[in-house]
Amino acid sequence: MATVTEAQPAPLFADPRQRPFSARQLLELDACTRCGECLRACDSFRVKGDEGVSLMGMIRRRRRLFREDGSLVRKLFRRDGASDEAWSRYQEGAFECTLCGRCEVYCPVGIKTRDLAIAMRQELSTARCMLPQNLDRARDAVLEEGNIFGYPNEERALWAEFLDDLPADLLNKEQADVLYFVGCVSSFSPAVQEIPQAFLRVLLKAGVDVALLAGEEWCCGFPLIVGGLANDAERLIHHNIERIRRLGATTVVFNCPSCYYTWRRYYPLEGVRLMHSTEFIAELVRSGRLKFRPPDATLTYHDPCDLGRGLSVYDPPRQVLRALAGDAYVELVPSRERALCCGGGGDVEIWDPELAAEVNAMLTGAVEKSGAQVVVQGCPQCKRTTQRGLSAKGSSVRSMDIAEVALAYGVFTDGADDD
Amino acid sequence: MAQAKEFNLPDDLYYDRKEHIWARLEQDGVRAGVDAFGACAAGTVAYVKLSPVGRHVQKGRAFGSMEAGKYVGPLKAPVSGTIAAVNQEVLGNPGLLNVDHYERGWLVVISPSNLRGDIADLVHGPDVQPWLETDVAEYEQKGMLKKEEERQCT
Repeated sequence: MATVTEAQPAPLFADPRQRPFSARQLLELDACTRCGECLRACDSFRVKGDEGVSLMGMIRRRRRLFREDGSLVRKLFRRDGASDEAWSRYQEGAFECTLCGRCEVYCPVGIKTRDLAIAMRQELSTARCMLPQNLDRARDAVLEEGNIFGYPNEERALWAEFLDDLPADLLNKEQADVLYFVGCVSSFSPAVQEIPQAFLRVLLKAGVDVALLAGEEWCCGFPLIVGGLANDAERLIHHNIERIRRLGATTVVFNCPSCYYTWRRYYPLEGVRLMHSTEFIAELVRSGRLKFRPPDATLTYHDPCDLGRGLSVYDPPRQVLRALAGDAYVELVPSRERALCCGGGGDVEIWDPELAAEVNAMLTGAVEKSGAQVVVQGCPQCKRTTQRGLSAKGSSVRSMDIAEVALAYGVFTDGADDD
Repeated sequence: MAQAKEFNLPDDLYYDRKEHIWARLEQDGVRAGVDAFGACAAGTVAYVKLSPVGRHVQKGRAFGSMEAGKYVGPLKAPVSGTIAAVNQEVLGNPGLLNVDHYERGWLVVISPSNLRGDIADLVHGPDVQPWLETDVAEYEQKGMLKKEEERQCT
């Protein structure tokens, strides 16, 4: 039987070498009025002080490149188009954007800023072969090993093997109702491996027939797509789809918003329900299968960019935390559509880790100001950067994933125990 | 004791030449950790996770994972066997891996299942010095190690 990959399915992404920008995006490049509203929203700009890292600056530099490449004077004198230096300056700015999408909320002319920034990266990385060096290594790691860390992919379920109560058949199931797609950061980073451990325990306590793909789970493709290498991500997408078909699962659950975003937006998959851990846990609360003991701390919640602005999932985590904490839940300022980025998005941590840390310092500042003792997060990369940022500040505030919170304070009913 | 630059590697230990994991043969099993050069190249260790006692591990497969300034990756077993002991102190204080490599910074003790066969390809004794010198030079050449004047490794 031919597999999906052998059948060479239709391309999922346009080839940027033929057409880097869609018609809408060409209009958007023209529509920017340089009002500067996006600068107010841009944490990378606040840190760098360089307009080129903001969408307004990127658009301005790209327009100049259009002009220089198409200049009549240059053509008459048979000069080359825009200089390499001009392209390099543009590239530096484009890859220092965290792709948090916050500027999209502020833009008065409705530019789809995040998609436009990704299209710019597509042009740079794929059409002009201007992929930054560190991203080059990350791409090789994903394509050769199937994960962003270049870690042997057969060790992907090591986090589960660390559990001393791992169900014997969990890693060998051939059929299951629910697939837990863990993602690279949760699988491999020991800084956040408590998250999949906690979410798996939540799933088991809720009585879910769940399976893991272990070494057969490949990177979802997100780091390649946002790095401007969407065409390279296709093989990963088809592989993961084939594996879920083989498993027969009707639901896929995620604790990583970037994986969830990628599946919802780019995976050509019908008849399969996709859920983030915040939504799954909220459903347990709504159905009365999960109740809570009173918490011993004041909680706040940080909206991950890909979950909030990316997929408009704002209410489920708040339903959980209000059910848990009542008045001991405080809203972070700013939050929801205007929530701050953790600094770990858009591959920026790979390209410029110092910028990522400085962007994160703004978030941890807001968290401390909220007065909460625990910041609840719904993203392993947010937790990874935030707990490191809080620790660097010597803060007493703890970061916990929503699955860890559900496990710590949850009382499961309907046959699931609370041990 | 083998030494290259500031890195000291006791030559009575056995070393995985690629992973820089040391192994000490003891009465109760094989104690394992990260050698001084491996810890320096990885950077400041922030997180360590280890398989629980009783878990079977295979030589060359992960018995734990580590996240440091410049490295996120597996800790690979130098020998096959069963985890007999886990260093709880290093789980609570991963920075020990950077400062006390061969004593308080040990990671696990493995009860080996094929000791003689498994240690055959580990570096030991007089072979440690030339291997260390070559590796340090290679890492420096490839830019995988900070410059000597910028390093703060013990």
